[in-house]
Amino acid sequence: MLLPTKATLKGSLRRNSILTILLVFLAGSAILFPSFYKLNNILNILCQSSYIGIVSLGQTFVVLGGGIDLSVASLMSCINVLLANLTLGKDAAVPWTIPVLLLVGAGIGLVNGFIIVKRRVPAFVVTLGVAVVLNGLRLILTNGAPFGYIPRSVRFLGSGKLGIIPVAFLVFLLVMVVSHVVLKKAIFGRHLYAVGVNEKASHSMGIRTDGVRIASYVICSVMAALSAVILSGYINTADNWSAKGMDLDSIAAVVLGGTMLEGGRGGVIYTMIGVLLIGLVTNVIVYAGLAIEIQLIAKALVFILAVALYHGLARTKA
Amino acid sequence: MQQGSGVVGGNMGEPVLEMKNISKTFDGGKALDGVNFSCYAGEVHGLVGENGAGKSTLVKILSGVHQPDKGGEIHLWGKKCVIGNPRIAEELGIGMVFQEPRLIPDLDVAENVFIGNEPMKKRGSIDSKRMSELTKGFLRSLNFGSLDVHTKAARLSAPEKHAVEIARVLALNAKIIVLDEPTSSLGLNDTANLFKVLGGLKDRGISIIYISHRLDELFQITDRVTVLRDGRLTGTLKSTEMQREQLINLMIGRPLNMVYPEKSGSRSRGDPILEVTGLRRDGVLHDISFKAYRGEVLGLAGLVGAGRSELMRSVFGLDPVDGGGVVFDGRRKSRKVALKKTMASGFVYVSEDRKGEGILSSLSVKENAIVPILDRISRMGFVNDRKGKKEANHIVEDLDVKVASIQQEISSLSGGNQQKVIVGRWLKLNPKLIVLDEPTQGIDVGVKQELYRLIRRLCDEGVAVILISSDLPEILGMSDRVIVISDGRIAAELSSEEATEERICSYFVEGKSY
Amino acid sequence: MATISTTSSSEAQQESGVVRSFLRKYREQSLIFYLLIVVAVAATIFIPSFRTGSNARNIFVQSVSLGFVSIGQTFVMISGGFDLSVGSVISLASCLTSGIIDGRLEYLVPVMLLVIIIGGSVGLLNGVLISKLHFAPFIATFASMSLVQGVTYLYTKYPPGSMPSAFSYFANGTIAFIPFPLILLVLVLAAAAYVLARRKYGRYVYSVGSNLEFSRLSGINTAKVLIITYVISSLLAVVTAFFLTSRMGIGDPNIGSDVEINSITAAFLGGTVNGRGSVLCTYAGVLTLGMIANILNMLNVSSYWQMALRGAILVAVVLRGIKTV
Repeated sequence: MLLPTKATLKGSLRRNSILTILLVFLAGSAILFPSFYKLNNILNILCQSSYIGIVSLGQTFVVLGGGIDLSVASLMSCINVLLANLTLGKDAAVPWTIPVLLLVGAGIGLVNGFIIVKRRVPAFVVTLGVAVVLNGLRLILTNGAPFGYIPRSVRFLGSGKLGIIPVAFLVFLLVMVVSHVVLKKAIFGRHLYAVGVNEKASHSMGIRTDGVRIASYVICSVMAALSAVILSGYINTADNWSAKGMDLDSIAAVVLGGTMLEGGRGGVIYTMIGVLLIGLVTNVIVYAGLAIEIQLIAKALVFILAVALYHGLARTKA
Repeated sequence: MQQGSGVVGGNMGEPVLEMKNISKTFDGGKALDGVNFSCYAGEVHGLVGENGAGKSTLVKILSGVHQPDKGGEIHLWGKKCVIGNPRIAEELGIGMVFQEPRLIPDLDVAENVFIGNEPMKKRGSIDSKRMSELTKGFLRSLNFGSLDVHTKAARLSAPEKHAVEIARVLALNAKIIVLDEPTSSLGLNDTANLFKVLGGLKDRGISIIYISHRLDELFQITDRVTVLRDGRLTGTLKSTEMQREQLINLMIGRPLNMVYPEKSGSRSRGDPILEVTGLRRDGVLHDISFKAYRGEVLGLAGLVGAGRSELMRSVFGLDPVDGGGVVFDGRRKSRKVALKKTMASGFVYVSEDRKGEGILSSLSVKENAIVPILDRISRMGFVNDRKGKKEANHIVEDLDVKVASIQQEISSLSGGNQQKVIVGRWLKLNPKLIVLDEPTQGIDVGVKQELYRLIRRLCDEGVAVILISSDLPEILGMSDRVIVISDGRIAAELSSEEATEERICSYFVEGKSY
Repeated sequence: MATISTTSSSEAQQESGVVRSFLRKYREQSLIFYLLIVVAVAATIFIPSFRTGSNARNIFVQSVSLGFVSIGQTFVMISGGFDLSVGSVISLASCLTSGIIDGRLEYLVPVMLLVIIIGGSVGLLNGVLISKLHFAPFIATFASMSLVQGVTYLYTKYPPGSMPSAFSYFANGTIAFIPFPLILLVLVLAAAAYVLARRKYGRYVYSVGSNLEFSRLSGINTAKVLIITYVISSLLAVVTAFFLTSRMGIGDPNIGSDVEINSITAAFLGGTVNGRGSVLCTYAGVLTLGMIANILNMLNVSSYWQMALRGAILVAVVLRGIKTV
């Protein structure tokens, strides 16, 4: 019964290498920019990572199932604008607005999921098209100039603190824990992994593959909506392009963390590492005085590197 | 039909191909060990052997996909050659025609025939007129002159695709053509046609290496036959002088009943668990009716593409059904019922495509093992990991799966052990009927025997087993009853006593019996 | 459905009309021509201002920028991929050209050459990522899009430099009353159609898109084919950038936004899928989109509605399903 466990090594090797990269980066930036690690700064990064993190978690679900969602950025901007529009800054409106917004997210996810799964169309084409439609609708609604305000309670959610810990981060932690439990412990999570690895096999094992995949898109969009609420609180304004770049960020975080784009491998912990890395990269660049545009370049380069590396690692498996 | 005459077209002379002392070692062991193989101009040389005997490895070495171990040599027309890659093989005049056609679906016939080899005009553009003409010529010589060369490959029928593949190697000026199971998807008429074509090629001095399971064809068309077993050459016979039993003996090397556990026969047979009536799937299955009984192994024999897997997949619910009824365990089975429910009621199907449909390759053994029983080991939607581990370990012990830990990726296991995990997990559902589709494909002898014993054990416990297999000795050795499927129809139903290899084979080709 | 076409063999010999053979060969894709005609006729009947000659000329000239890019996108999509980086390449090329030249005529040609090389290398990057590193096409081009866009913004946030007035010939010049860019487009269209139909490389693009694995097994150098394809796409994006920069007299870092969506939509409208497609049909798709935009402008529909509509068209076209395998 003694056989080489080469294969299990590969998985932990991957996870360890990302962790190593993260630690190296942390150490490196601590040495180069010691003042970077001021408490204020760290808290700031935690806030930012929170909304990036939540949408990245949503993206994780979709990618695990073998898909991808490029409509998150557009959806998030829509939610941001809608929040301001519907509440007009009044806290009283928040208790009913937020559920409505989450439902809107669910609806978009349903649309995405249905077209992708039932009509068997490539995910990125559909979500790209939906993104454009959402952009157009949003611009029509606001006529180019969004109006309304972000209510105080949401502001608290996005940038407030409980003691020393940002509220946003607490929400993020909560979502993280729930996601982890669902993915690792719930039957749905098991099914999702199976579908991501091999849809055909999963189907012949009796798993309702269509339902699982559609659900992953709904989850992603709902999380994007939630993330948008927090984002709104953080930036305290309604902007037509508030979430620009969130699609790259969320996918990069997922990929950097080690979740494979072909599906089936990865998870919450992986994505968290990716989110942290992205957050660090973004902020260190600003802190080092480099032009803000370098962020985009850096993210893209790191993204390419990560995919290339992980594919290389994946291909050497037995 | 051309009789293998033992006299090759043209001069006997020197062989055009000589493979000397060919061995090939892979990680899992030696696939070939010191094989000698030769071929003369205008000869049709059959190559036979069981699954895993080494036929495809030998042929892959010839076509440049693999390199022989040190000490092995290949001589073509007397000159020593190194065939480093498939391109070189093609340039040397070796053409491969695979069992599964590899045509580009959106390109037309002419383009597929000349792919990589297109006739060019002086300006550097493709000379499509010449391409069409040459293609028409090749097709005509293959008796397919009426095929429009502008048809897209996706719309061709199986025999047409085959003809195009052969035309392709002819266009490459192949002098040695390897045909791998060429008749597996052909009917009687097309096979006759193919033999006529092969005769024509013989006359032109082209050598043909003919790989086939169908022993009758070997007698009909080949001049010599080489038999491989377990990677070694067991014999090269002249077709006119060889006997059937001789061939089988060289292939298997042991009397049948040593390998298979003793059958219980129809005496221990129970009630019918499955009744299929008038099952129809347009274009694939025509009016199939049969029963499967508890405690019995029902073997489904037939050629690849005859419809055995398609039949059981339709009955099970993986593929569509256009007509007819299925009664399982006394209850009518609706066409729309979810696979999950079917499996819960005790009807289980083990797919032949282990890699594609059987395992979740990057997941662990444990994950693969618990998929069907997730409901059983969870409460309120959450999986009890400990119970899962227990169940997985139970499978490993019960079926003696060779693995270091259940957390290992299942892809790192050998084929046999993977199959054990797959079968083991289905057994956890306590099935009343289990369909095994080519369960021993690519599995070594030891594990095969274990699976055979397991099947018998299941039968003794009252489970109905439907065994789909292309391995005739396996069908004969395991089945209490045999149904032969041919061209989507039931060609014959034979009891264990009536079933012989010859008899079954006779029903393969369009249900005609001799 | 397998059909042994015995009769169509003689048909094939008899048929002579080029149009008829074209329509037969591209039966699925040529649906776009019918749509185009329907839209054109409807517009002519119902909208008076549509009927003027200058409006027709306008539509054609407007179609040039999307036209060039869509031709490149067609190549990429036939090969089985998508090029999301074209928009950002246009932006970068436009800014670099205008920014470096800054009105100096003597810099014109060298800078144009430089920009062509830069654009080509983006295509090279895409091709290598996809063929050698096995990136999925949309991931590779999504990443390179971000990269190139980042570089563009790094170089400039606002329209930079300026173009020498002589350069405006590119967009505004005419040869015998026909706008120069239109002539260029026709030439490129003809060249593209020729390559796809008659050159070995062109047929290999279809082959690779139809089945990558079988193509490789048949001895085709699939990496080379893919790399060339993405380089072509990027080069055509650079040509588009030249046209747009010439028209505006200055570069713009945001000029390429939406281009990828539109070019993919146009190609889909023309019936392009992996393994199948025609640049002529794609151009019909371009014209259709252009005509629709033209009509909507005349009806005073806001550009926001038009954006939403374009996204909806993409989803609608794709809804009827994309050929798998």
